[in-house]
Amino acid sequence: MSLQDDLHSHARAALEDEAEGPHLDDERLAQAAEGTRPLQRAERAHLSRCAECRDVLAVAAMAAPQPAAQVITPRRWLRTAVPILAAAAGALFMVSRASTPQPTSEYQVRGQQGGPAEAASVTFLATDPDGRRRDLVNGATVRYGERLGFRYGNPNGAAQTVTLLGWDGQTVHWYYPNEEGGAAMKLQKGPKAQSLRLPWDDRIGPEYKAGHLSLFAAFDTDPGVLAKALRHGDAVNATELRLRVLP
Amino acid sequence: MSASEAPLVGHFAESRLAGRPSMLVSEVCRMADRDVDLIERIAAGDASAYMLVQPEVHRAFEQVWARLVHQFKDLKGDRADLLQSLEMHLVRNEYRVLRTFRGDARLSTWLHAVAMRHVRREAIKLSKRRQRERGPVDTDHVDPATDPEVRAVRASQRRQVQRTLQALSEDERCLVAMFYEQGLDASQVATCLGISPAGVRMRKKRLLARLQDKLKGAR
Repeated sequence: MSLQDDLHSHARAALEDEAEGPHLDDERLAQAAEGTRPLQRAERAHLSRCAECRDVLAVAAMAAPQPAAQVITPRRWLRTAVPILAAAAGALFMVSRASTPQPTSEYQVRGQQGGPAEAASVTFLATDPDGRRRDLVNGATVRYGERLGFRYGNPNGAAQTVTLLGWDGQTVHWYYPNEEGGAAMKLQKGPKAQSLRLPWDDRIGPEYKAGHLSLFAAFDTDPGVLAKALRHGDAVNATELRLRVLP
Repeated sequence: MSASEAPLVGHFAESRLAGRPSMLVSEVCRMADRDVDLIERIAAGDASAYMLVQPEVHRAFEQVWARLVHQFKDLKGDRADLLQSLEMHLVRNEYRVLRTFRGDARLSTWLHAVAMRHVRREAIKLSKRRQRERGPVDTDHVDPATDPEVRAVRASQRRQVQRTLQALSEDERCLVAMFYEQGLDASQVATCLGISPAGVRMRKKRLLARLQDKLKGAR
């Protein structure tokens, strides 16, 4: 009998129920099973001792739709090339920054069509746990527990859809659409569409790697194409806002 | 929130869904209609709304039953009673349990979790009652191997595996439990732990190699 057969046969008996204290919340386990909020250390510690919570998590995991987002492990040559390319891009960025006036109060991504007055635009916001909201500018810092929000303007209907994604160098964070395979967010137009807040914010949590996070906004772009370009390190037809994530 | 934001945010602002991870507006509407609004209707006393949730409850029960029936072999005749018990659990005290749904997860996933916890507890109670009625069972005779030597070898192997698993760290025990006790695959384990499937497979491979070494040493 192989080790794996042994484990299948004896795991339940070997991992006896020894949990103390309250069980994990059913909705919390359902969230973990759906991948919207992974299990924390203390919760994993409880699970390792609690057969009941393990059974609950397992049936929820079987019932939950599996998220389509993938984490791509870079190849070895890519791991070497990325720091070099990043350094070159950083130098280029500093040069262009020195010669271009920077926005002072808020960072706006403008669409390709029309002049600044009528182009579609996106503004990125952060809301701290106390509800204080601020507009994000290039180089801003966001912390775990804060929420990323989005506002757009499209008064003349210059764009039909917007795609909003985050990229931390390893994982694509899906905002609009909220999962891989989804369609881009349709934009309203007209006088009311001067500054419309998108309905759902995204909480910064442990699923975000501490360090650099780039937010990308692209109008009238296929979300899948944008995500693929980010993963492959290709040039993207989108505007980028660079942030720093602190735990 | 400015007046210009109102048209899009609208009635979602005060909803229990506010602050959820981002999603398409169409999905939001569907989810609000399908899940939270449904529960709010039930909580408000709309009995017909429960009829919309009931098929989902039955689906959840079927999944739970399929898993538990292997653990509790003496409960095969209690399927209908356990389903009824689950429904009573959800509707009693003016839908007290259903009203605890916050909208942090999908209603169907949450119902599976609630169903498993309730039905499992009821199954354990029933099983213990059966055992009391039947008297103590000699677990050695449950082993289908009739040869005492084979039984002894198996018991020894079981004890070694138990000792090895009990010496693992909490995270390692968690991993073993998800794979070998619960039968989840790498992508499901990865989703629960928030790491990539490749990372999960790597941890599993290393863990198996360590367990193999430990068991070889013990034998």
